[in-house]
This record gives sequence, structure tokens and C-alpha cells, in this order.
Amino acid sequence: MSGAEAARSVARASGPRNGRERFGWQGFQFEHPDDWAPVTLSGGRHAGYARLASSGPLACHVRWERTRNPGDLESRLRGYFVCLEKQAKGRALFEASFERESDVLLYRWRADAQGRGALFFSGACSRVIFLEISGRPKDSLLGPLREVLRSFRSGASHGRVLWSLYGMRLWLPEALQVKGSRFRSGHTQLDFRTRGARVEAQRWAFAKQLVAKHGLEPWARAVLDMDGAHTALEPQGLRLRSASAWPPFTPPKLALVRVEPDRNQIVTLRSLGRDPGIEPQWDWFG
Amino acid sequence: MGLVRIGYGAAAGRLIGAGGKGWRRVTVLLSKFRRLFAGGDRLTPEQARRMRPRRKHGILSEPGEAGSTVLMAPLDAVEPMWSRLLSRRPESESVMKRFELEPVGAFVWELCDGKHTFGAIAQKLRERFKMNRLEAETALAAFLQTLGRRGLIELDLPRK
Repeated sequence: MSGAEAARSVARASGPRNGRERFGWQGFQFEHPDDWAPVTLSGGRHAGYARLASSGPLACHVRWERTRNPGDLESRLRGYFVCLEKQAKGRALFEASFERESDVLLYRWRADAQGRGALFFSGACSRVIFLEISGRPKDSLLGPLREVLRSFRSGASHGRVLWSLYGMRLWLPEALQVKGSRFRSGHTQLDFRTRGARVEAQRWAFAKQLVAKHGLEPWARAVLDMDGAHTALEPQGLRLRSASAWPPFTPPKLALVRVEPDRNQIVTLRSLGRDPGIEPQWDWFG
Repeated sequence: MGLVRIGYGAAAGRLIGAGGKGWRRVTVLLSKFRRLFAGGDRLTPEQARRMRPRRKHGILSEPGEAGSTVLMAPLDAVEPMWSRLLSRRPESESVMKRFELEPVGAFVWELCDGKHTFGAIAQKLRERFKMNRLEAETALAAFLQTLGRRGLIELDLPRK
């Protein structure tokens, strides 16, 4: 089985169940209810923070930090409690506790809000990860936390990393790192870079409405800025390739455009560069 | 009288980044809209979801090209007061202003009947156009704010 096939089989095996979505970002992924959506994304692969908000008061927070030696997780957790206590000072009485469940520290805190979380070291990606569900004092958080923890995966699978948010779902080479992003209603764009190559991923909602007037090919040429490109319609979607152009030494562009009618969206991948390992492939689409 | 096109959909509102983060963006947009009419504090997400947008009286609509809808509103109803005073138009003269809503906007316009709540319209948008929740709510809030600024709709505020 090739790496790509293996990555897809992993995706299928761990694919989201009905009413649930999979969030994949910076080398970790987990399932969440489909009415949750990422509202804060910061940092990079080494350290960062992500927050997903539900339609109600519940929110899911993930913090990660790369380290060779995780050290004492309990002291990290106590440091976190001290920060929370400072924030809660003057507003409510702060209580916190934790227990160890194999390699995971399960904790809870309570002030004017409450949180339940897990702190663990992921050997697959050498990162210390805080995973927490927060809500109002009367909300039940243990169930959602267990669900998220059960589906949590980190690290690359056969050299590929899942990037999955707002309907976009891509398995990209591990070497690609996010250097820019744009999140707007109906349009998500992630710009990835690695040495000597660039890949741009875009997801457009309202696919049916977008291509209704002019058709997919003219739309794709305009959106991807590939006017003179050679196009080929393949079973998986549309392939556009433009050779080097003026000015000299401009890298060639290759783009793949896939329409996903079940989600009424179009996902495009465009690469600029001469590295054949970074040319988009159909199996990059999840 | 020129035609004003009111867009909906792609790039209607930012989800993450400058200008707002997720639900905060939705509630800020709706709160701004609410302040235009009634004044008041920032809304909670629950209050925002219970708001009922309603088309203003006297606005006519007719089908346009390719699923769009053309609205015709009396200029007096949608024009700011300073513009009315400057134009020195006789009161008897009735001028209509035309707006074009693209198909997604037209779909939302039909649901602005004072019965559907913001949350219900967002849910219908999700079902019809297969959008995700945050995307539907952010875009809907931005669109309703535009309609409100143009004087085409009113919001029924939720009771406490």
C-alpha cells in the first residue's frame, strides 16, 4: 500500500461519524459536533492555540508546545491553575483538581465558569498538549471531553498531515507549513510553504451558484489567475497547468480543482515551484 | 434611478482575523444593527439568535434574472433624512429606489417575514446551501446589517 493510500485508509478508519466533523490543524486532529467551528487559531507547529466554539456556551481549547523533554506535567498544570486563579480573582472562588489516568492528567477547574481538560505528552509529534472543554458552571463537560479525547490523534500519517476545517479537508505533505491564512464566510484560504515551493489551498462555498453563470473552467481560470493554462477534465476534477511565463524563471503553476456537490463547495489546490514532490495530487483531497 | 446590488455569500463576513472572531463578530454586527434602530447594549448569542428580521412595509419585490430578486422601495423610506432635505423634492413626488438581491440574498429576503428568527434563517441557509454554522451565521448577520443600513428591514427584538 502506498503512503497516500495508507493515509486515505487512516482517514476512512477515523472518519467523522454522522453529525460530527473532524478538525485537523498543525499536525493534530479530533472529532467534534458539526455545530462547533474554529474561532481562534494562532501560533504554528511548535507552539500555538486553537479554540472551537459551539452554538451554545461550550468551547474547546487546544494548546500545544513542542518539547524534547516534557518534564513534570504536574508542575505545568499547577502553573496553568495559577494563571486561571489570577484571572478569576475578585470574580469568583477558584477551585481546581486533577487526577492521573495512565499518561494523561485529567483536570478540572471551577470559578464563574468551569473547565475540564487533559494534559499529556504526545510522543508522535513531541508536543505537550492541553485539551480543554469549558462552559458554564452547570454544564456537563465530561462527555464532550471524553468524545474529543477518544478521537484525538497527533503526528503525521505516512508523511501526510490532515488540515481539516470549514469543510476543507486535505492530506498534505508534512513539510508544508502554514504561512498565511484567510477565513471569510464562504471562502477559506491557507497558504503553505516549504523550501522552494508554495501551495495555496482554497475552499469556496456556494459552488452551484458560483459556477452557474459561466461554468467551472472559466471560473477556475479567473480565481486561480491561470488565464493561459492548459486544462484537462479528469474523473476527480479539473487540472490546470501553466508553463513558465514572463518574467523569466517564473515557476510553473499546477492547480487541481475539485467540486464537492454534497457540501456545495469547490476546493482548489495550486502549487508554484519546481519541486515535483510538492505538486498537488488528487489523493491530497481528503 | 440606478440599481443597487446587495451581495451575499463569499466574503460577506470575516470568520477569524481582523474585525472579529466567530460569534463575537456575529453579535457585534447584530448589535450595531440593533443600535441603528432601538439603541441598546451588546447582544448575547442567544438573544441574537432569537431576533426576527422583518421586511419594511411598502417595499415591492419582483423576480429578476437568474434567481435574483429586484426590490423597489419608496425613496422616502430608505433615504437618510439629510439627503431628503438636500434634494428639495416635493413631498407629493414619489420616487422608487431599486435594489437587486442575488439568489442567496433573495432566499434570505423571503424569510425576513417577522416569523423566522435569525437562528431559523441561518439553519435554513445551512440546509439549502450546505454551509457550516459559523459561516451561515456570520454571513447572515453581515447581510442583515446591510439590509438594515439600506432601510429595507427592521428587527423585532427578543423579549427578555
